[in-house]
Formats: sequence, C-alpha cells, structure tokens
Amino acid sequence: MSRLPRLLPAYTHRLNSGLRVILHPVPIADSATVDVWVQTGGRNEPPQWLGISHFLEHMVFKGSERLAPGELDRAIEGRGGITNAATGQDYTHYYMTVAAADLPETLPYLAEAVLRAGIPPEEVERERQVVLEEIRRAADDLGYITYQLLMETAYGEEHPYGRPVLGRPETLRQLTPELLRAYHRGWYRPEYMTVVVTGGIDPEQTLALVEKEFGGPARGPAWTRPPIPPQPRPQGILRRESTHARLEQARLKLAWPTVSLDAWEQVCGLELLAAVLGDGRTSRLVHLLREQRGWVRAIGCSSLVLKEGGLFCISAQLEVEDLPRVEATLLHEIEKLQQDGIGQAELERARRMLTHELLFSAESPSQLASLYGYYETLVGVERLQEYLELLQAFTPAQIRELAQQYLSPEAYVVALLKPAASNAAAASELQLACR
Amino acid sequence: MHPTLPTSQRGRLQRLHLANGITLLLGQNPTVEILAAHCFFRGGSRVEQPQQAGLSHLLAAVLTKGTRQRNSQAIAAWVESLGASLSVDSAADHFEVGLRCVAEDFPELLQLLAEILRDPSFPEAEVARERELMLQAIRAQQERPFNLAWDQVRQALYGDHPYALPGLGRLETVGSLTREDLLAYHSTYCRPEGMVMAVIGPEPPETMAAQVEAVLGDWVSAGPPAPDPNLPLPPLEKPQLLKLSQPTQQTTIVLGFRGSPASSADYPALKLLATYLGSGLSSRLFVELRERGGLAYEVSAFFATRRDPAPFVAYLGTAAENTPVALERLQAEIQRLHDTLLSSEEVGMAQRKLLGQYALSKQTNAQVAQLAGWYEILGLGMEFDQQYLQRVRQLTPAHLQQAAKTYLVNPAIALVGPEEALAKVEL
Repeated sequence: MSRLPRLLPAYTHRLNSGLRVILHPVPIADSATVDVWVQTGGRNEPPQWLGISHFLEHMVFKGSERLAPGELDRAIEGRGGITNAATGQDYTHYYMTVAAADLPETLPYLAEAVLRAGIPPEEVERERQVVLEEIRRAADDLGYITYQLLMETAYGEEHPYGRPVLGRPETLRQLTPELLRAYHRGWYRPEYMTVVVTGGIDPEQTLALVEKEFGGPARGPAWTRPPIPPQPRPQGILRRESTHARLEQARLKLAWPTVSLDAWEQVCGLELLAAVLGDGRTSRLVHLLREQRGWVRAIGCSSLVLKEGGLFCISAQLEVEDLPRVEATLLHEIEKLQQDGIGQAELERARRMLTHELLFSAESPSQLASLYGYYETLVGVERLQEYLELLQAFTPAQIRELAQQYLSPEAYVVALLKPAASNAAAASELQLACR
Repeated sequence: MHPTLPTSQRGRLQRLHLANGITLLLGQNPTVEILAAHCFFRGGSRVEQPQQAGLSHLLAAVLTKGTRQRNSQAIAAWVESLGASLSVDSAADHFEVGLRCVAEDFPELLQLLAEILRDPSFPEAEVARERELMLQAIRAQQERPFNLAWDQVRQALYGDHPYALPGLGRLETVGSLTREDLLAYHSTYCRPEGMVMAVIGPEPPETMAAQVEAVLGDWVSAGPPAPDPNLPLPPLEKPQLLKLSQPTQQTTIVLGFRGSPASSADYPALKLLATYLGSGLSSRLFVELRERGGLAYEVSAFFATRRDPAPFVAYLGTAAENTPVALERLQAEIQRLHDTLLSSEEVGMAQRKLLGQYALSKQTNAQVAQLAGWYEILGLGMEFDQQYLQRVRQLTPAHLQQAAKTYLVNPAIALVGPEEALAKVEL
C-alpha cells in the first residue's frame, strides 16, 4: 500500500472520574464490541497471592448483589452475543460483542459485573475448583510448559513475570472472598481503567451510555503498584532443561532480555528485527532451517512486549538429535546479521508485512476494540500510529545496531523441553555458565 | 467518507459461471481496502484411497512450493514483499487456497495464484522435506490428550470411511507418498470444473470477475473428473468405551456420535443441540458441569458440517479422581435430551444464541468469503447461509428431542488419562 493507513480511534475521552473512553464507529458493522481494560494482572501480585488477578476475573462472572451467577452470560448470549475475559501480566480485560441495537440493554450487565462484583463465598469455593482444573489442564499442555519454563528462567522467582498468571494450587488456597474484594476495590477504579466501544455505534449516545454505566467514582482506597525488581540480565548462558514423557519433539526457546515499554522506539525496531529473522518463508531463520535444511518442523521469532521489560525470543520445534546444530546455527545467523547487517529489500519486506498484519488485525470491530484497549493500557493508544510511522522510518543500519545491542551470542537464556529418553524420569536441571 | 453499506450487503454475493466450469461468488465491501479470495476444490481427505491417507494434506503443504516458472522462495518472496498471505488448507471434504491482501495488489497476486493452481511443479526435494515434516507432525499430534481421545472416537464411529483418519494421515501411509501421487491428485481434483472461488473486496463484482476471468478463463482440465466415491459407514450397534492410559494430570473425556450430513433436514436441529449443550458460558454443559459442578475448566460440544454423516461431540477435561463422576454427568446430560422435552425458553435462548453468534462469525471479508465458498463446494449452495438460519428459527423442542433420539445413540466414548483413573470406569 502506497500510503500509511490511519489506525487511530475516532474519539478518545477522559471522564471526570479519570476513566478513559475510546469510541470508534465502523461504518459497515451492525455489531458493537465493548472491551473493558483494567491495569492489573500478574505484575501487581504479591507472591503469596499469586493468581489473584486471574481468580478475580473468573469471579466477575459470578455476579453482584443485583446479578445472579451466570446472569451476565445469559443476558449477552441470550441475545446472540458473546462475552469473555482474559488476564495477562500487565492487564485484565472483559469484552462482549452484541448486535449494535442490543448495546443499551446489555452494557449495564457488563458494567454491574465488572464494577460491583459480589464475590459470594460459596461461589469462591466452587470456582476455585474450576481454576485448579485450568492449572491441571495447563500442566498437560506442552506448549504452555515450555513458555512457563522460559519465563521462569528469564525472569526468576523474584520478578512477577517469572511466575504463572494462573497462580499455583497453594497460593490459590490463600485467596479468600475478603481478599478478592479488597483487591477488586483497589484496582478496578476509573483511573486504572479504559472502556473501548467499536462497531455500529453513535459516538454521542454511546459516550452518554458509558458515562452512565461506568462513570461513577471509585470506592475505597486505591492500591498502588508494588515495586518491581529490575529485569534480570544473564551473565552468560542460562540454560534450563526438562524432560517429558509425553513429548514427541523437542521444544527450544532462546531469549534475550530487551527493553521496557518506555523505550518505544526500540520496541518497534525489535518487531522489525523479529520479522527479518523469523516471519514468513523467506525470513532468514525459516528459510535456512526449515526450508533449506529441514532441521526444524517449525521456527518463529517474536519480540515479547511487556511493560517492565520484554524478551526477544526464538522458538523452534525439532527432533532432539538436531538440537546442537540448530542452536549453533541460530547463534551463527545472529552473529552474521550483527556483522553484515541487513539489506534494504529485506527491511522493506518486514515493514510491509508488519504494516499489513496490523491492518488485517483491525478489520472487525472486536479486533479493533482489543487493539485499542491493549495499546491504551500498555503505552497509550496514540502510540499505535507512532508504531506505524516508526516502522517506515527505520534504516538497515539501525536494525543491525539493535541486534548488536540486544542479541548477545554470549549471554542469553535457553529453555528446552526434551522427550524422555527410554525410561529416564522427568528431571529438571539448572546450569549457569558464568563467564 | 465511505458510503454506508449494511453488513448484509457484503453477505449478498453474486454468483457467476465461467465457461470452463468455475463458479465465482463475488461481493463488494468498499469500507476496507482488504481483499479476501478463497478457491475451493472438491477433494480433501474424503477422496483419498486408504493407502494414501494424508495425500491431500501433503498437496496443501507442497502446492505453493514451486511452479514451472518459479521456485518456492521466489513465490514466497512475491507474496511477502506485498505483505499478503497465501495459504493452502486441506479439510475433510475439500481443499482450499486462500489469499488475503491489500486490494490494489490483487491483480498481481492473482497472476501468481493462477500459476500455482494451474502449473505446480511439486519439486522432488520439497516433496521429500514436507513429507518428512508431516511424519514429525503426526507424532507431535499425539502430544495433545484431546487428539489421542478424538482419534479413537473417530476410528470407532467411521471404520473404513475416510473421516476415521486425521487429515495428516498415518505414519505408514504418508511415508510412501510420492510426487507422482501428487501429480495424479492434482490433475484429478484441482481443476476448473467444479471449482468455486469466492472474492470479497472493495471493487465492483464486474471488475473482480473480469480480473479472474483474464487469468483463469482459459484453464481447461486435462483428464476426466473422478467419480464421487461411494463410502461405506460401519453399523453402530452399541456404545463403545475406549481407554488409553497416559501420565497426565487430567482425564480427557470425549463422547462422540454419528450425526447427519449437512444436506439433511436434521442438520439444523443437531447444530442447535450442540449450541444448547456446549456453546458459550451459558450453555447447559458449562453451567451444570463447570459452574455448578466445578468438574472442569474446558467443557464443550460441537457438531461438524460435512458431506457425509458428521461427528457430534461433547468433551471435557477433569481431575483424574473425578473421572467416573464427570463421565456419568456428561452421559446424563445426553440422556436428559432423550427423556425430557426442553422448555420453549431453553430452545428460544439457544436459537437466539446460534443466530446471533453465527452473524458475529462473519465480521471480516475472509470469514464471509470462506463460508459462502464452503457451502457452495459442499453442494449446498451459498444460499444455504440463509436457508439454514430460516430452518433454525422454525425448530421446536419436539424437533430437538427427535434429533437426540435419532442421532445421540450408541456413543463412542474415549478416555485418556492416568491408568488408575481409567480402571474405575466401566460402561
């Protein structure tokens, strides 16, 4: 596309209460999406209450004084809509998509549940079992296990990003209804929240509706962010391996600590670097390791964006005997890029792919709402346009400098899952190769 | 500003037939610059010979890996330099080539798409590599407990019918697939007559039709088409219990039935039953087994859309010690559909949910094009989109009970989990 798409939302407001409201009418849509973002998640949790943000997200669907458990779901799904929620390290969000005409009738349910969650004790006990099932399910999911092993290794137990958002069975048992309510009052407050509405909406009427339902003041004292230790930087190669009986192919993740979101320009440049290395069949790593040599079944590269400091990550799925040569090749490729840089055409390709991926990911009202809410919660929604502009501005030399600065071949983190050889029991070992 | 256009207009596609037998479904959506084009061919796993299981999947993996004019990297470089995506997927009854791009790049990418459909070269080295990676993928599929359970259920419900097999095929069949097999499959199934192409973009339908005709209008098939295979289904005379022990934390329970084909008058009722049981946070299984019972995190049901009788499935994952009670509760919910007439409120709620969520599943150009083309290739016609909804609206509690009594019988039940947990379960 010859000109840059404009992706910013049509209207942004801040209510007197401090709540941010983002509205964006989509001309063709006859549905509307509401996405409510709260600036809390794993990163705000003390270790002994690990999993509280996620548990609270489950409890929101259990209603309030005026809303029976499950009533929110019935109100929305009974009108043909959908609703759900998700919890991450830096955010929790609740969303619903309904026919645009149903917005005035359904929004009060979502607002009531999110703002005035009742957290009834008997429901807490019942839902605890469900969350424990979610943890067991995750423990059977080898992709999840690999990811968690990487996070633990890269951030350590002292940093919240090193701990699972789902919590652990022993911490979940500590979570009482009173604690959940206090946490809810402390974080679900206008100054920590954003409401996004997209789709077939009239902006003025919708603003009035959001103000009526979400515009009230906070109750009780605010909680503030606990201090977070600096992101650990490995002094050498930090390698963590574990074996699994049900694993058929090895999973390899290599990661380098990057930057916090304050360094927005670097964040954007690292996206380009990741695309050059691992997005698409002609990217360097896919081309060499999958297409030419056939040493990996899949390989990808991503820049994991987190508020307090992210990771640049290469992930591969492969036969266990290919592990040594694949890891060596990955490092060799990085050194090559650091020495020789990248070509203009390579950069153009990455630019175009990222720009279009963003455009494609904003086609439907629900995708757009999620994009706006995510950006507003993490960095401010205006950064979305800045991201697009920065993508166009980077030069090959700058991308090479980013690789030199962040991807040290001598200091990185490895998380590795291997199939259990014959009858070796599951084991985990930690090595630190200090230099 | 864009002219306002109701969503339904994007769904109102025009059908056009080219002289060589290609059916075009064309829709205009001037509000976005994104174009989606999906090409469908009859085939998929359903037409594979038993000893060639996985062939359609291998074709999907290799089709874009070379043409007579270009090699794999040149093709990928073309697509990626335009920031587009080109994908090939094999399904039970068809295979599909999908393109998504910025609309102004369409004419150029259409050239490439035509070249790939008409002149693939299936380079020997690419075939060998993708075959090897498919063998790895078949093994890796077993890492998911759900796949292990679902494999057993499918086998029990379908016997020698191709729906018994995973799309990837089996280690013993994929290992012996050759380039010649791909060439034969391509010339038999990847052909203009019977092909369906659905395109939605900002340009008027006439413009898009002319663009497509210019590159595909002179495509003629080499040989005769294959006759539609006559596929036997095994009788299902009694419930079957299948167990596979695995060192997992949860037991995965999959309960499967053989439902109707999509063309059957009973299809809408089975779709509505699946919605009632397993769709969303207010579904019967979610409320009874998760919200009230605390027995599962994931619990759901689905009914597939197929040319031949399609699987109807309810499943969940539960703590090992809850295995017997969770299975009992799941079976009781099915039995309840036989014994009790649902209330008109329950059916009304399920209808509203199905109709509304169906509309919400068509929010992007690609989603609309994909669904219309799929109905067309299944032989239902794109009009099925509206006919189906009309029939869902007319369903009554008695229809649902009748469908449950007819189809939700003689289940194949698969359990995957720790040995001690499975030992406690009998039929």
